[in-house]
Amino acid sequence: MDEVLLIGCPASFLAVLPDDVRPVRLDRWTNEEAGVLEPVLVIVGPSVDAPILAAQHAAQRYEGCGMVIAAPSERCAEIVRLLRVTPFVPMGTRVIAHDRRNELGEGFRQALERARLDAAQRLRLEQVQRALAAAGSVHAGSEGDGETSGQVHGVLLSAAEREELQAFFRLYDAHRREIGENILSEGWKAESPALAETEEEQTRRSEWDETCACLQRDAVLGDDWAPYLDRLRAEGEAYARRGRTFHRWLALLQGFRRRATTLLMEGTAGRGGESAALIGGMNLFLDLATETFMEAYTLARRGQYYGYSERERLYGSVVESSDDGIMSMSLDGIITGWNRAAERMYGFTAEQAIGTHIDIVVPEDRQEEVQDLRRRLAQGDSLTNFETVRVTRDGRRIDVALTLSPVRARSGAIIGASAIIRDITERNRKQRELDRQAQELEVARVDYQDLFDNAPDMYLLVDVRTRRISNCNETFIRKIGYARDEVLGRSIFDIYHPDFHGEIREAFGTLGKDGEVGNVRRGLQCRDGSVIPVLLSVTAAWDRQGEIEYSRCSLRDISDIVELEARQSAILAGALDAILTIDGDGIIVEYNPAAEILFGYDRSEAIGGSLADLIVPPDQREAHRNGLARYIGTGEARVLGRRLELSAVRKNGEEFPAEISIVKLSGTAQPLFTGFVRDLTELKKTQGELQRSIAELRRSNGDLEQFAYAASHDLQEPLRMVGSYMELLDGAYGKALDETARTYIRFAADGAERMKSLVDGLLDYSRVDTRGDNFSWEPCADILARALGDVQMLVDETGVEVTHGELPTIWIDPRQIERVFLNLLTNAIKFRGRTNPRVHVSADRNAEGEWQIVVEDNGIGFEEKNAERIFQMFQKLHGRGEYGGSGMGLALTKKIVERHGGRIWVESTPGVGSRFHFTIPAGSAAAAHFSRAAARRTSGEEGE
Amino acid sequence: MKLANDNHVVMVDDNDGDIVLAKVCFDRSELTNPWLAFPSGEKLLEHLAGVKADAAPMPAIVLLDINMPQMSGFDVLIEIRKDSFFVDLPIFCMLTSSAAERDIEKASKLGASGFVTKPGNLNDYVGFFNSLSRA
Repeated sequence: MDEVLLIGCPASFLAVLPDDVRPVRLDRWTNEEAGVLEPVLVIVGPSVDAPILAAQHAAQRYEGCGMVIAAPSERCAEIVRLLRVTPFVPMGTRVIAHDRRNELGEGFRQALERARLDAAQRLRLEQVQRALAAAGSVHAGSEGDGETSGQVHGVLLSAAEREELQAFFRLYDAHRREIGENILSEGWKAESPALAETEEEQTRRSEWDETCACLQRDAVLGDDWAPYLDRLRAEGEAYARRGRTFHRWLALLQGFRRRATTLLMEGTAGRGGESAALIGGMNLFLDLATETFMEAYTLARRGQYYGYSERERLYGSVVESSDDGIMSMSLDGIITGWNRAAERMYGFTAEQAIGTHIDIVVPEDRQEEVQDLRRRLAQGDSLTNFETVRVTRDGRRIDVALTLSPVRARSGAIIGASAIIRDITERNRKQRELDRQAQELEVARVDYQDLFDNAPDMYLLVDVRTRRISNCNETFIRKIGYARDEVLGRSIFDIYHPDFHGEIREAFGTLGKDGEVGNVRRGLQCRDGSVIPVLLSVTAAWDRQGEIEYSRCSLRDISDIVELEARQSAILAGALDAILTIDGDGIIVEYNPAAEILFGYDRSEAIGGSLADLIVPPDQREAHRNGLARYIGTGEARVLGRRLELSAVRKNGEEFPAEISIVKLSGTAQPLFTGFVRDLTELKKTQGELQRSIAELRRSNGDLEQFAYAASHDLQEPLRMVGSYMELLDGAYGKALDETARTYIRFAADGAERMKSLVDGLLDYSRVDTRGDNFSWEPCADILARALGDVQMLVDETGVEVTHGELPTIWIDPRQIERVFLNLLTNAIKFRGRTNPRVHVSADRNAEGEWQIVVEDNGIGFEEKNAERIFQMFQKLHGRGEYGGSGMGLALTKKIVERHGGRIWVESTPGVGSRFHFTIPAGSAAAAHFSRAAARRTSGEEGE
Repeated sequence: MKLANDNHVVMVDDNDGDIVLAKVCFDRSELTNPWLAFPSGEKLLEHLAGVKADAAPMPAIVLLDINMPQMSGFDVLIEIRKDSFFVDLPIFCMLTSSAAERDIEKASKLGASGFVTKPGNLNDYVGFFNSLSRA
């Protein structure tokens, strides 16, 4: 009966032990008491102070025994950690949590049993098989057990299991060989080499085994093994992933093997070699199945636990401490290894990652790539620094460089892949940043080049030592007309007009001293001989020794400005007005030749002088300064933009009236004002004279009119007396007088009559301007009709035919123009011809836009030389006997027409007829004339 | 204008020639009223004072020359129209020439009943008197 040694264990532990063991309890380890025992299992209980030490002692004393350390749960982790670095602790030692206050549960019992059986299996094949079968059943019964107490915290399992498996396989191999030897046909057996000890013989034997295996495999399964083996591999990984031991699976397999063998043997009884081949084949398959399962299991386990050996432990620590992510996976993509760097990189812990599919870190769009990679790995390819994209647990995409190699089993078969992962997100980001900066630099460079080449100004770099051009922009090339290679290296004296060479030499001195030359004018000598005025600015570029290395020149084409200046200075020079410009302090900055003449100061005296002191009369200087200061301070302008009449003073102190207008120049940095000054002395004098003349004229005209009016008015009375009493005399005493006396009376009456007619004419004439009606728009034809009405009797009597053409509507004094027509008609009728007398009135626009009205007749006419005279007062061409009339009619007509702003003249040919023309302004001219006339009336002025 | 009654046609003029001429033409006209003439405005006013005192009848019309020395026709007009007793008395201003618009305007404002330019020949003068009776 197996012994189980319990050290420092509570009595309750005994209850969980199976019946077929003999427990021995010790409170602590003592060599005396332990020395007599041969336990298959040692349990170090929770009351042992130094459980590892106790386990070490026991392991040394009982080689190959099972070992269980039951410790308080809080110590378990530490114990496991210590065990890993403790020598002489047996493989397969279990550390089980046991807290005293808890009841021992099924888990604990199982753990104890497992430990015992593990140890026992090393002793006997039967025991192993039994243990496995029991473990399987125990495990089956413990699925889903939620107890914490009794949980297996850690086991040095891999190595133990490996050893155990090797032992198992050795036993099984022997067993299989036994079957084969017993069952295989005689022929095969005869050829089967004897068990040999030499290496050569071993090789031959394995070759033989291989041959047999092929035959057996073919016999049982043909070529269709691969799918089964894949499934077994997955199952092995799944077992490992779920933390289950392989024992249960092996037990199941073993049970299957036993039952299958029995069945096969029974089913093929008496069929000799066939039976043996089938059973052998079955066994071979099961062996392969076991090998495949175990390989997958152990590989998967490797990802979960630390290595089998020191070397692997070393690898493990290297792997764990690597800055690169390192992972392994099976060929179907299940993650089997995952180091800390991979945890950091992807955000999944090893626990989360291992056992899951690699897809968790593969973005959707890279799935195909991963499948392709897996295919290539399966073919044995390796990849170095394969750059791709992966995704982290929080969904962030990272750039990675993968180094992938296939992982091979000892057999050389590829069973998975390892990957070294380098996060190159940052590197890529930096690279992109560098690319972007490079691109920006390139863009900036292109921009600068473009700016340099195509700026409106010309740019030159000049080697100051040789005074030659070392670089220039395209604008310069275009302006100067040379090709670039003609310009580069050219002396700068070649590109400036010779007039400037002296200044240029001086400028080099200035440049050396000040480092710059600002805004100087030069003439650029172009290839075609033309000279472009330019504004040149130069700055020096210094080298480290403080010498000028080269100079930078910018040249601005100021042709436009120069032309403008020329035009403006021509205006300034040629202006008749004095033109001065002052700055905000009242200092004269510009002064033209007319100003020199006007004020007496020459330009050099005036420029820089104070306007107030030079030309403003002393009593107005204060006001001038205040006005300027007020404008500068407040912007309040009283004089800008207006025409002013002020006094100014000449150099000789003479004050004179001046007309001044001042404008503020726009767009200048400092306020500048330009004044235009015109000497009004002459104008004032002339104006004064003119006004005096006008007043004089007006007065004499008024006197004349007053005289004419008064004269004619007062003459009426005595005339009437003379006329009336002559008539009375003739009527009352005519019959009593003789013929001579009556003739005298008639002469006197005639004289009085003509005198009256003259006086009436004079009166009318004097009243044309003063007694006129208001102007209005009148149809000329109506006026003519009214005039005709007045002479209708005369027309009827004389048989004159009066016609008219189309006549306009005109702006007139209707009564006066009626008088004009009346006079002209009367005139035409009076001087009519003998046959078919006709008068025709027409109107047309003349060249000046006036209405020109013509009254023409076919009368007796007169000599052209009298054409002026007939419009004078009291002038008559005919004697009193031939034609009546006062001689006032045409003079009056002329005066009326002139009052209307028109002219009157006559063309005449004796015996053919006369054409009287008079004009009346049309439209606006008429209105303007009227408004002048109205203004005269309003101001009470009489006369023209 | 019709004469107000059959009383005197009164003429005031400093010029005897005018008065004589007017009397000749008046006599030749259809008017049958008695004729009365004064050489000045003062004499007319004296007469009118008598009219007011009922010593003489209210004249049918006064023909008043404007252009007189001392008291002008305007002065006489102002005096007469001051007294409401004579507010209905017809007073015609006799003008020397037809041109005296300003005189017409002034007389009208001062209360003249009508105007007449002294006719230049006898027939016109007679016609004027006839128009007074026919109107």
